Amino acid sequence: MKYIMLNDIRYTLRQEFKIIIIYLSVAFLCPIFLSYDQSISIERLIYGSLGFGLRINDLSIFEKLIFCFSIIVYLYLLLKVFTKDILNDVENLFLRISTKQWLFYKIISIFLISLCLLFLYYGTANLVILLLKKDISIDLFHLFIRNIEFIYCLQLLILIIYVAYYNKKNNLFYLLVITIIFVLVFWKRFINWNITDCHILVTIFILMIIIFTIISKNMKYIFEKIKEKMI
Amino acid sequence: MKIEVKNITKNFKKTSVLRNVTLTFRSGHIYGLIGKNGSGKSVFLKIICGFYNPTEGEVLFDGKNIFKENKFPPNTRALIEKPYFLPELSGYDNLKLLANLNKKTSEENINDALKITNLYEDRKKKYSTYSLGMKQKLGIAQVLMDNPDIIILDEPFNGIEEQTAKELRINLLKRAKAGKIIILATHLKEDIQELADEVYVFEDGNVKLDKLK
Repeated sequence: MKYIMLNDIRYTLRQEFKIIIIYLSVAFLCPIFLSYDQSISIERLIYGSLGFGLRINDLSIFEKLIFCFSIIVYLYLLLKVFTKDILNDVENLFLRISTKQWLFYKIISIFLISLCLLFLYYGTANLVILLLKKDISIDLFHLFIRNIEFIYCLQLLILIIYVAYYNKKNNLFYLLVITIIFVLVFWKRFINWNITDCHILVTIFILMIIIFTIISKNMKYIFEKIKEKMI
Repeated sequence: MKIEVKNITKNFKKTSVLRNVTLTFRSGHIYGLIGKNGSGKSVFLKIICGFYNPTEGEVLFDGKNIFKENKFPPNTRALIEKPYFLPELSGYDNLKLLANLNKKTSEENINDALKITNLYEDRKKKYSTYSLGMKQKLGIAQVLMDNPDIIILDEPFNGIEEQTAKELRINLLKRAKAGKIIILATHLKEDIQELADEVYVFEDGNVKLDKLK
C-alpha cells in the first residue's frame, strides 16, 4: 500500500505539477473574476468558484467552463495514475501482489489524491472569497463531501468505461449498466440535495464491484491493450 | 518446477515477433537466450511473466496454465528492460518498500541482495544519484532479495563492472544448484557462455538451440 501510495503521490507532484498549479491558479483567480460583478450573491460566488455551480440554473459560460475544467483535471489525473503502473512498473508490482490487491490500493490512492487536491482547491478558493467578501455563509463541509463524492463517482464511472473499452468481451453489458447508473444518478443532477449521501455511497460501491469484475476477469488482456495503445 | 512454453506465437498487429516457439525450462538449470535487439527475447520473457498474452500457444507452470486463470507466475521475479524505482528514496528504502508489498522478505534478505550486487556501501544514497550501473544492480537486487524459484533477467550485466558481474554469475550458479530456474537474455554471447546450461538463439521470431552443456 505504502509503495503504491508514495509512487502515485510522487508521480502526481512531479509529472503533473503544472496541471496542479494551473488548477489551483483557477481556484485563486476565479473568485476574483466572478466578484467583479458587485451584485453576485455569496452562494453563487462560492458555487461558481468551486466549479460545481450545477445547482444554479442560469450558469454563465465562464462558470460552465470552470465546471468542465475541474472535471477534466480529475479525470486526467485518474487515467494517468491508473495507467502509470501498467506502463512502467509491472515487474515490481504484479509479480509481488495480486491484481485485485493492486486495484484495491489503486482506487484508494486515486481517492486520496483527489481528496487532497480538492481540499487544496477549497482552501485556496475560500480564502480568496473570505478576503473579498469577508463572509462565507454556506455549509462548506457538506459541500466538500458532496463534491468529493461526485468527483469520485465520476472517476469510477470513467474508469469502468476506460477498462470496458479495452475489454475483449461483455462490453455491451458493462456499458448498459453504466448507462443505467448514469441516468439514475446523474440525470437528476448530482449536486441536487435530493440525492442522499447513502445513494451516492451505494453507487460508488456498485461501480467498484463492476471495476473489480471487469479487471479480474480480463486483466491481462486489458493491461496489454492499454500498453499497446499508450506506447 | 517446470515451465513449458508450447508453440508460442506472438503478433503485434501485422508483425510477427515470435513464431511457434517451444521450449522447456527445468529446476536447477540456467538458460541463456541470445539474439539481436528486437529479436523477440524480451517479448518472450514478458509472455513467461504473464505481461503479454501469446497470440497462439500456451505456457504451463508445472502443468498448470495460469494464464487461463488470469494470474501471474508463482514465486517469480524479473528484471526486463529498465528498472523502476522511486528517485527520492535510497536504494535500501526502495527495496524495503517493495519487500513490504508481500511481507515475505526480511531485512537480512534485502542486505544480502545488496551485498551480492556490491551495492551495500551505497545503500543509503538516493536512487536519483545512482549511476546507470548502480541502477541496474538495484534492479537485480530487487529480483534476488525475495529468493524466488524463477529468476528472469534481461541483459543483466549491462553497465555492471566486471568484478560484480563475476560475483553475480557465481551467485546465480549457486541458486541454480539450489533448484531455481534461471533465464538470462542478452545480445552478447560472452555474457552467458560459461554460465548457461542451454543457450537458445532468437532470430526473426524463431528459436534454435545453440549449446547444450
